[in-house]
Amino acid sequence: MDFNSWLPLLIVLSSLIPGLLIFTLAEHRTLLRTCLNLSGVVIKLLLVVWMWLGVKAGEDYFFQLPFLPGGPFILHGDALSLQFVMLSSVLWLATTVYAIGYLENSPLRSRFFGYFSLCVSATVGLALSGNLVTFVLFYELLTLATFPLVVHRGTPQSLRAGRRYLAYTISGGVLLLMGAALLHSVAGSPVFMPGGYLSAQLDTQSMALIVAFVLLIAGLGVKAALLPLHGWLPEAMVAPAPVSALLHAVAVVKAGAFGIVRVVYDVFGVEVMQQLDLTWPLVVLASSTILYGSWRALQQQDIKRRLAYSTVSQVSYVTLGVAMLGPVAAIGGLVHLVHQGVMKITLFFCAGNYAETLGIHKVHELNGVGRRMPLSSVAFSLGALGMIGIPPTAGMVSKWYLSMGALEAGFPWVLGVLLMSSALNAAYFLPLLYRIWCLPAAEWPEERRLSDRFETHWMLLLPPVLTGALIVLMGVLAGTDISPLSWTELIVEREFGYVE
Amino acid sequence: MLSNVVEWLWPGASFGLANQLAQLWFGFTLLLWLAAACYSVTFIKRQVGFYWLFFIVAMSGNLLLIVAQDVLGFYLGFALMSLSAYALVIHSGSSQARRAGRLYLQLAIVGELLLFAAIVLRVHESDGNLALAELTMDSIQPLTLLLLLLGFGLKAGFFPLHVWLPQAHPAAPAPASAVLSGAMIKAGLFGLWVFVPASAVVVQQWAVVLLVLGLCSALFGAVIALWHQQSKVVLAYSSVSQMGYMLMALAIVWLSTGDARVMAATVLVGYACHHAFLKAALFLGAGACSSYRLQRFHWLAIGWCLFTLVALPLSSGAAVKYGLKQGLMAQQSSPVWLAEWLYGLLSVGALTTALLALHLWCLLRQQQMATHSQSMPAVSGWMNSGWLILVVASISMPFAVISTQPFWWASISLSAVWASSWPVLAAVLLFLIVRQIGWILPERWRDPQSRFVWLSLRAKRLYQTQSRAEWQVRWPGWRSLERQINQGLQRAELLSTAAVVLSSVMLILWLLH
Amino acid sequence: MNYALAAVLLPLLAALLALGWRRYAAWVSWGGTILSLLCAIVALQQVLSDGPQQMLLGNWPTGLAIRWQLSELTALLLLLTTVIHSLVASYSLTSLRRLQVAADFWPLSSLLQMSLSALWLSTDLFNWYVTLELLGLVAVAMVTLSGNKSVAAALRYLLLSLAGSLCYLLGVALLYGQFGVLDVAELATRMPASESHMTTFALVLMTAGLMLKGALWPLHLWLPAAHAVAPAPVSALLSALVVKGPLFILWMLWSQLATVELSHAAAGFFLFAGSMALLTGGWSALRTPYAKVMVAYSTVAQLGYALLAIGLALRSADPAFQLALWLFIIAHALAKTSAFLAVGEMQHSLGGKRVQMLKGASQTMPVAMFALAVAGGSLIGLPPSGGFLAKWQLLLPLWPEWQLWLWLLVIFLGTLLSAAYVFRLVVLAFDRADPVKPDFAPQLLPQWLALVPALLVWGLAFGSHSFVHWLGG
Repeated sequence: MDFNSWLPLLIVLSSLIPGLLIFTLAEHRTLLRTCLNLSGVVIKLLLVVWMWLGVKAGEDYFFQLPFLPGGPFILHGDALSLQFVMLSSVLWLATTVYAIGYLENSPLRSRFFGYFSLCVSATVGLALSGNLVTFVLFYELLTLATFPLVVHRGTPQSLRAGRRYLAYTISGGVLLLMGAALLHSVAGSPVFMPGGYLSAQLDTQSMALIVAFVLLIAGLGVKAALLPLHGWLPEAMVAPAPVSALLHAVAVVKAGAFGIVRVVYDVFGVEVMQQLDLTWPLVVLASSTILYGSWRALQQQDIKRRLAYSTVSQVSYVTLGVAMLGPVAAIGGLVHLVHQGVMKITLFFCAGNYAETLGIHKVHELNGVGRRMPLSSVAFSLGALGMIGIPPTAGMVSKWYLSMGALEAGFPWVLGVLLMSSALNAAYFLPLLYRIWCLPAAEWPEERRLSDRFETHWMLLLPPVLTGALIVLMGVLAGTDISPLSWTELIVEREFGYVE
Repeated sequence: MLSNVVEWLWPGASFGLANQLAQLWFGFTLLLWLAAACYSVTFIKRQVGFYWLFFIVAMSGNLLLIVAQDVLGFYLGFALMSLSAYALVIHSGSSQARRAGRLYLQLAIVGELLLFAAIVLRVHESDGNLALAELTMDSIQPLTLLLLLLGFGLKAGFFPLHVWLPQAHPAAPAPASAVLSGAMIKAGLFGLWVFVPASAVVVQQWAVVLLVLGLCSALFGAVIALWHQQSKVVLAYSSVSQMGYMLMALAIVWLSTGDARVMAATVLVGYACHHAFLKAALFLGAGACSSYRLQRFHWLAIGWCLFTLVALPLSSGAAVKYGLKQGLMAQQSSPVWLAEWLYGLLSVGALTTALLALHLWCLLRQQQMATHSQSMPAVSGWMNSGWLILVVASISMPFAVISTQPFWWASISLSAVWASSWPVLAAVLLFLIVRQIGWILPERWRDPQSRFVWLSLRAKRLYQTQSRAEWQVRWPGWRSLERQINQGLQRAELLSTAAVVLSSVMLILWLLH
Repeated sequence: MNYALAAVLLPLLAALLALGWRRYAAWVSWGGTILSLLCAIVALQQVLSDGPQQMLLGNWPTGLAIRWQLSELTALLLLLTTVIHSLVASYSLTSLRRLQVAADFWPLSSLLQMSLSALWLSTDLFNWYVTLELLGLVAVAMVTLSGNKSVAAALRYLLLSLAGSLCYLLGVALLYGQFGVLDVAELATRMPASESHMTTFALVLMTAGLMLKGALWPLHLWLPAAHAVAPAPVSALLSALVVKGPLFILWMLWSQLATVELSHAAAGFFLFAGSMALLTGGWSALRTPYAKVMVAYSTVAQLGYALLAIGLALRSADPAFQLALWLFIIAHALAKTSAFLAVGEMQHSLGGKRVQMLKGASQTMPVAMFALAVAGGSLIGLPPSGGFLAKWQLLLPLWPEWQLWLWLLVIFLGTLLSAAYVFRLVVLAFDRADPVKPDFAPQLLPQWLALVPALLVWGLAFGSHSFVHWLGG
C-alpha cells in the first residue's frame, strides 16, 4: 500500500487521535489541549488540501480493510466526498477556534473537546466512506459522538433535548441499518459508483429496492431533518453555540443530506430512481419540508430556535436538488451543501456571540445590537441575506442553480416552492435585521465584558467575520476555480458526464 | 463601447455598454447620483455613515445593472439597489418613514422574487444562456412576460403598481428621493427594455394593453396629485404619471418596427433622461424649500423645471413629448382608432400635468412662506452645486444628446408649439377661474390615506405570529395501568402462572405433532 | 485436546486449593484462571490448525464412554468462558479490600468456570445434566454471597433450578430408556428414525427444564431478582456465562435430535418466545427503577435474540443464523460482563440502587460510565460492535424471505427498546444540574477493567472475518 491509499485513513485519524488524547488530559492543561486541537485541525486541513489537489488531478484514494463478511471497510476519496470533507475541515477549524473562546474557563473542557474531535472524525469518515456498510458505521458513530455535546450543559432542558435527539437519531440509525442490510442481501456492498450498482437487480427485485430506498431515506431523513422527522433539531438548539454550529453546519444535518446524495446517485443511480419512480415522492417531501420549516421558523421568538427551523428548511434544498435528478439541479443541491453550511455557521456563531456577550436569546432583545456589536451584526446580516438568497451572497448561487435545475428537470412548480421559501425566509430574517440595525438600543439582559479592544472576545469574533466574508466571496467569485461551485460542477461532470 | 467577460466572477459575468442609448442611460444615471451626492454633503446631518454606505451601495447597484451584460450581474445590481434604498427611505427614523419603509421593503422583496422567477424562466427559455444580448432574440412565454412586468413594474411604479411610491418618496431625505425617483424607478423600465424580446407575438399583443395602461397611469397620477397638499407627495404622484408616459414610450418601442423602433427607443431614453433631471431637481427643491431660505434664482430653477415638466416649447419636455406623439402615430401594430384616441388623450394628459405643475408651484410657495424667517439657514454651496448640475443638465439635454436633437428642432415648429401650448394655456385658464371663484378642496377630501400602509401592517402581523407548540402525543393515564400489571406480576402465583403457560405450550406442541 | 482438558481441570484444582488455603484463595483462583486462559488459547489454536478433536474418557467403547469433543465452536466458547472469568477475577482482585464477599467467592467462581467448561466439551445428555446441576448449585451459592438480603432470591433460584434439572433429567431418563445411549451423536443416528410420542415428550420436558435454567421467556422471572441481588462480579458471571450453558444444550438437542417437522414446530415456539422475551424484557428494563435489575432484564431481552436465532436456524438451512446465534452469545457475554461490572462499581462508589444514582456519573466516574455506554452500544447493536455483527448476520438472511417480515419488525422494536433503556442511563449520567456525589473517591483500576470487555466486544467486528470462518459461516 502506498501513501495514496493511506491518506483517507490519515485524514480520519488526524482528528481521532488528538481527540482520544484530549480525553486523557487533566482539566487545567489548557495550553496542551489547545495545541492538540489546533494541530489536529491544521494537519487535517493540509491533508485534505493535498487530497483535494490530487482528486482534481484525477488521482484515486482507496483504503480497504476486511470488516463484515462481504462488506469491507472502505475509505475512498472521490470528488463528492471531498466536497463534504473540505466543508467539514474548514468549518471545523472555525468552530474549534470559536469553541476555545466560547468555553474559556468553563468546566469539563477535556470531555467537550474530545467528543468534538470524535464528532468531526466520524463526519469525515462518513464523507470518505466507500460503501454503504462503512457509511452506516460512521453514521452511528456520529450519533454517539454528538450526543455528549448536545447534553454538555447538563441542565434538565438539555437532557430533554438529548433524549429527544437520541430517540430520533437512533431510530433513524436502526432504519438505515435495516435498509443497508436489505441492500447488502440483495446486491452486496460494493464501492459507491456513479450511476449506482443496482441496475442488475432492477427487474427481479424492484420491490426490495423500493423498500430499501424507503428505509434508507427514512433513516437518513432523521439527520437531514426531513418533515416528519425533524423534531429533534429545534430542541437540540439548547446545546452550546459551537455545538449548534457543528450540528447544523458541519456534521449531523449535513451527514443526513450527504447520505441522501450518496444513496440517490451512487447507490441507486439516476436510472434506477427513474425506473422505480422514486423521484417525485422525494421532491414532494423535500418541498414540504422547505415550506414547513420556514413557516415554523416565523413563529419562533427564540433566536437559535428560529435558526434551527431555518436549517430544517434550508437543508432540504440539498435533498430537493438531488432528488430532481437533473445535472443542473444537482449542482444547486450540492453547492448548497457547502453554502448552507457556511451561512448557517455564521448565523449560529453570531447568535452565540449575542448570547455570550449581552445575554441576548430572544428576538425582541436584539434591538439596536448593531451599534454595540457591529462586526458580529454585519456577519449575521450577511448570513441572513444569504439565506434569503439575495445577491451577491452564496445563497443566491444555489438558489439560481436549483431554480434552473427545477425547470430543466421538469418540476416547474418547485420554482414556486423556492420563491415561497425565500419570501418566508425574508419574513423571518429581515425583522431581525431591522431590530439589529434600525431600532434604538435598550438595556441588554446580561452584559459581560469579554474584551477591551473588540466588541467581544477575539476568538468569538474572528470565526464569524471570516465565514461572513466567505459568504460574499463564494457568491461573487463563484466562477473561480477554487469556488465550491466549480468543484460541484466537477462532481456533476463525473457523476453525470455533464459539462455545462 | 466596451464589453468583456470576467472569468473569475460569478458564472457568465460580463460588462459593457451595448449601444449608444445604454451609454446615455448610464451617463444620466451617473450624473444624477453625483448631483445627489453633492447635495447630500451638507443636507444629511444624522447617521451620516449609514447614509453614505447605503447611498454608495445603491449607486453601485444602479450603475452595475446598466453595465452588466449578463443576467446574474443585472440581478445583482438590481437587488443591491432595491434593498439598500430601503435604508435611504427610513433614514429619518420617523414612524412615518418606518411605515413607508416597511411597505417599500415588502414590495421590493416581492418584486425581487417575482423578478427572480421571471429571470429564471427567461434564461430557461433561451437554453440557459446567461448573456443579456442573446435573450432578446427569443420568444417569450406569457407567464414569463407577466412576471417580468410585475417584477419590474413594482420598481418602475406605474399604475397600479405604484402604491409604495407616494409613501416612500416623501419619507426619504430629499437627495434620496431624487435618486429614487430620478434613477431607481427607471431601472425597472430599463429592465423591461432589456429583458423583453420586442418582436415576440405575445409582446406585440400585450404592448397595446400597456399603451393604454401607460396613459391611465399618466392621467391617474396627475389627477390624484391634485388632491394632495404635500409637495413631495405631489412630486411622487407626478412620477407615477410620468412613468406612465415612459411605459407608453416603451410600448411604442415594442410595437414599432425598423427605423421607427430605433426612433422610439431614442424617445424612451430621452424621456427617461429628461424626467430624471427635472424630477431630481424638483425633489431637491422641495427638500430645500421647507428648511432653507431660497433665493430668487432657486425659484427660477424650480420654475424652469416645472416649465420642462409641462413640456412647453424650448424645453427638453417638448422635444420628448413630440417624439412620443410621433412614435405613437408611426407605429403600425395597434389599431389606428386607438392610436388616434390616445393621441387626443395625450393632450388631456398635458392639461392635467400643467394643473399639477401649478398646484405644486403654489404648494412650494406656501411652504416657503409658512416657514420663512430670517433665521432659516441659506442653501449651502454643496447643495447649490448639486442643484446646478441638474438644472444645467436639464436645459442642455436636448442639445447635448445628439439623438434627441431632431425632436427638439421639430418641437419648435409652429404647429408643435401650438399643440404643446394650448393644454397649458387651458390649464392656466382653469386654474385662474377656480382661484377667482375661490373654490378650494374640502378638508375631508385632502390627502387621502393609502389603504396599502394598513395592508402592509396586516401583512406584518401575519408573519410575526407567536410561537405555538408542535403537536405532541399525550398518553392518558398509562402509568397506573402499568403499575397494576407490575403488581400482578409480582404476586406469588407467578410461578403457577408460568407453569400453566408452560404446560399449555407443551400441550400445543403435542397436538401439533 | 489436552490443553482443553487442562483448561477444565485447572480451575478445579484452583478451587480445591482455594478451599484449603483460604488465605491465598484469591491469588490461587486468579492464577488458575489465567493459566486456563492460556490453555484455552492454545486449544483454540490447535483446533484451528488440526481440526476438531475428541476424547473418550477411560477408553471405553463408543456408545458407553463419556465422549468429550473440542470443535471450533466449543474451543471458542471455552476461550470466552476463560476470558470472562479471568476478567471478572481480575476485577474482583482489584476490589478485594472493599468487596464484602468473603473468600468463598474464589473457590465457587473457579468451580463455576470448571463446570461450564466441562459443559461445553461434553457431548452426552447425562454429562450435560451433571455439569448443569453443578453450575446451578454453584450459581445459587454465589448469589447467597451478598448475605441475608439475597436469601429469598437465592432460594427461589435454587428451587427453580432444581425443578429445571428434574425436568431435564426426566427427559434424559425417557430417552435412555428407549434407546439405551446418551451420546448425542449416537442418538442423532437413531432418534429421528424412530420418532414417537415418547421421544417428543422427552424433548419437550428437556426443553422446559433448559428454558427454566436458562431464564428463557416465559420462565425468566427468577432471573432479575437473583442477578440483581448478587454482588457485581457474580452478576457478571451469571449473566454472561451461566445462562448460556442451557442455551447451548437446547440448540444441540433440537438441531441434532429432532425430526424436521418437529423442529419446525418448535421453531415457531422459539420464535414466539424470543420475540416476547425481546419485547417484554426490553420494556421491563426500560421501566424498572433499579440499575442492576435493568441490566438483568436486558439479559432476558438479549436471550430473546438467541432464541430468535435458534428458531430461525431450525427453520432455515442458512448457516448464517447459527453464526448469528454464537455471535450473539459471545457479544452478549462480553457486553454484559462490562455492564454489570460498571454498574456494580458505580453502585458501590455512588451509593444507592436506583437508576437515579447515575446522575452525573459521566463527570464523577467517567471510565465506568463510558464502559457502560460502550457495552450498551453493543447490546443495542451499534456498529462496529459485536452486537452489531450478530444482528447483521441475523438480518441478512432474513431480508430475502419476505414471509419473515414479522421477525424483522420484532428485531427493529427490540433494538429500539434496548436503545431506550441503555440511553436512559446514559442521559442521566450527563446530568450536571443535580449530580450524585460519590461516597468516596472512585477507584480507577476496576473501572478500566470494566471497560476492557466492552472494548473487546467493539473490536470483535474488525475480527469478524476470522469468526465467520471459524464458526463455519
